[in-house]
Amino acid sequence: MTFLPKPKLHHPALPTNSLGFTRRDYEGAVSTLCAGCGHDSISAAIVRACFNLELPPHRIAKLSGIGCSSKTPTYFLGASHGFNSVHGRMPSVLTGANLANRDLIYLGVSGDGDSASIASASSPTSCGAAST
Amino acid sequence: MLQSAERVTGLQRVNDFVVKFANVNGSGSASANALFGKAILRMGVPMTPRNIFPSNIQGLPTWYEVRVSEAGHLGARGGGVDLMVAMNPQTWTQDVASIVPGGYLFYDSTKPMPPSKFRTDIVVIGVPLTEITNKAYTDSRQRQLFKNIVYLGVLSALLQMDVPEIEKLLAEQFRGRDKLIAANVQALHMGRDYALANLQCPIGLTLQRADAVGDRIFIEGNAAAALGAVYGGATVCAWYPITPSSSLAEAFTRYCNRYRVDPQTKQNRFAIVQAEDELASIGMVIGAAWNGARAFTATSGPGISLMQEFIGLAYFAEIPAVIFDVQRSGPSTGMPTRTQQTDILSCAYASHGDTKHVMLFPEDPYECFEFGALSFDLADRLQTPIFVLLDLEIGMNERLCKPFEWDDSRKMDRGKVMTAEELEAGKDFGRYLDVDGDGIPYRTYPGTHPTRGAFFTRGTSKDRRARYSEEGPDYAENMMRLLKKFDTAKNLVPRPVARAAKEPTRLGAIYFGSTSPAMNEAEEILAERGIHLDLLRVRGFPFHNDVKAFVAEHDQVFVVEQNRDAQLRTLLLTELEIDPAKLTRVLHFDGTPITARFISDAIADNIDSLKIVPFRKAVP
Repeated sequence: MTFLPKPKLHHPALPTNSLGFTRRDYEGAVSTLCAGCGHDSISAAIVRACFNLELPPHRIAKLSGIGCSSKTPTYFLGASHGFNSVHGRMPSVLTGANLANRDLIYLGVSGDGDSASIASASSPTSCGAAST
Repeated sequence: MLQSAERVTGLQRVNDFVVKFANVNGSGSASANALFGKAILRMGVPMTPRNIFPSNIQGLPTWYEVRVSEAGHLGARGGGVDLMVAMNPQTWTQDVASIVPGGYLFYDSTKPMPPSKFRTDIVVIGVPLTEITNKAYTDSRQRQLFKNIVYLGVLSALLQMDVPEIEKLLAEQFRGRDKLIAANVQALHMGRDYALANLQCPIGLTLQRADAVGDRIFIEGNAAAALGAVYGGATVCAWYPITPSSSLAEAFTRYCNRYRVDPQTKQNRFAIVQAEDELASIGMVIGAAWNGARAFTATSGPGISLMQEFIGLAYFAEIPAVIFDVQRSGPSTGMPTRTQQTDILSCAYASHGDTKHVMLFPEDPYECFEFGALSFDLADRLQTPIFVLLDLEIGMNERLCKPFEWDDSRKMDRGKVMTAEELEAGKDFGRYLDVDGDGIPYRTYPGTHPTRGAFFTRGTSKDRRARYSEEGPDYAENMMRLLKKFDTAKNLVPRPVARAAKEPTRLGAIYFGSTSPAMNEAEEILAERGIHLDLLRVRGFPFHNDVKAFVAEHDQVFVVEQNRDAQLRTLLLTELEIDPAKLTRVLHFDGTPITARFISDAIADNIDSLKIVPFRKAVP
């Protein structure tokens, strides 16, 4: 099986935020990364942050490039639209998405190869454009 | 000062000739030359201008060719120049050589030139332009700029132009700057008066007022396509400058600043980004379109090469995108300021893996506008990249065309988008489910519904519900659905336009894009020679069934195009499984626009070569 959905069950006493979401509502599919991979810690932190910040999951768009880091948007925010684009080019896709709709929250995920190597040229320009 | 008028009888033509200006880049000649052309249009005589500019900057040669044709032929004529306005010493030899026998040479005779520099079979007209302007002006820039207007004045006398029309155009050009108007009118008359006093006016080439322009408008294809994008509802443009497409994005910027700024809030209702490169441009377009905007980029062949990976993503992940490709001569840097139809195959099958893309081929600014707007409906309807293939010939030259039409009640076709209400009502959503049997699935915009309709977009293989899957059947089903979707596109792209010959014939010709005016004229030339051709102008890919039927109805079909490798012919053979023997190549690819003479000669030669001449019977 190449896709592992997570069971929707959770403890009835699990706390909810002001929007009525539990922390589990911010999770995604089961991670297929190696056991102990640091990316899973980052994904867990994103889940916790979004829960704590009380963000409506569907108002977040998550974008990434290619690679292990870029796979992780599958593993958090299952109720958000996600876009796993091409290697090193997350910043441009995110910039375009941001130009189209300024009301969503955009979350870009990228790794060392994806961003620090390929996109080292594209990131500054795109981030500049995205923030203007 | 007609140096050889006694020996040569010059050509005698009314409203039907070619004038070419040879200038030095950056000398300010462009506006004088444009005035010359527009004044002819104002006289009711159709003319088509062409900027011929090698890829260099100030100080190097540039040409402006004007074809005057009351009969309305808008394609390049070819076959030499009737009147050469030779203002560039660097290109003197080639410019003089390009004049047809009996043609005219107009030059600056301030410095005497040896007779060996001239030809004896042309009419030579010398005017001491530098001397005239040196006397009249002290400032060197003024001397240079007004020299252009002085030669325009000389031409007005030589060709019998309507001077009030030129004066009116000068007044329009310098509206609000009265001093400049007066100075230009003065320079114009300086040249005109000199010519009337010293030269035999008019020469054999003359202009006469006519009524052959009608209500047609005069605009370049890139501006028309940009206006089409505005009408088509484009709100995001991400681009990287490249000749010959830059003026498309620039025109879009101008139109948006004029028409898309909220009058109350003064906020822009558009976003235009000049990205860091072509990869980022197409990435931004795809990101914006994924998020529900109508987005486009404008580029040329090298940009298409750079965008390949993203184009494949948009095809496979099914994201709308509009790509205007204003084609130039390749491969590589090629001849960047010369025209060609050379990206047909690289767009049709852009990116790795099995891909096929929708393409539109406008013939003139009218269709650049129309297809420019239509492309956004098609992109949304088909959820795939749409290529609008212009070329330098129509993109960067102003051209007469029908006035644009727009029905204000026309609604945008946003395609299959599932709404929050439909999701709330429990409608089943699977991003890649073929619900309607046309291969086109439903999509949702990000942020639509709190709990339903979210999906993950990816370039990797997936199942019908957008879940990552490397299962063979999932992949194969998806690929076959994409093919079905492409088949649906066949009836959505503009249908080909057929034009029947005046007499029944078994010969046909297929052509597209900027070849159009030359092909139409060639058909007339060939008909006069007794060769009759049915014409079919292809306007879109995938090919409509009419195209296959047209080939089936004819014994021999000439495929006329402007590239070396017969790219449209290859596409026809591959996609329609036609017998290659039926399709004859007519190829023009030297970077100049194709001409009627070229097409008619190539077709006539081919037909002649097929005729079998029987051996004469031996006389006993």
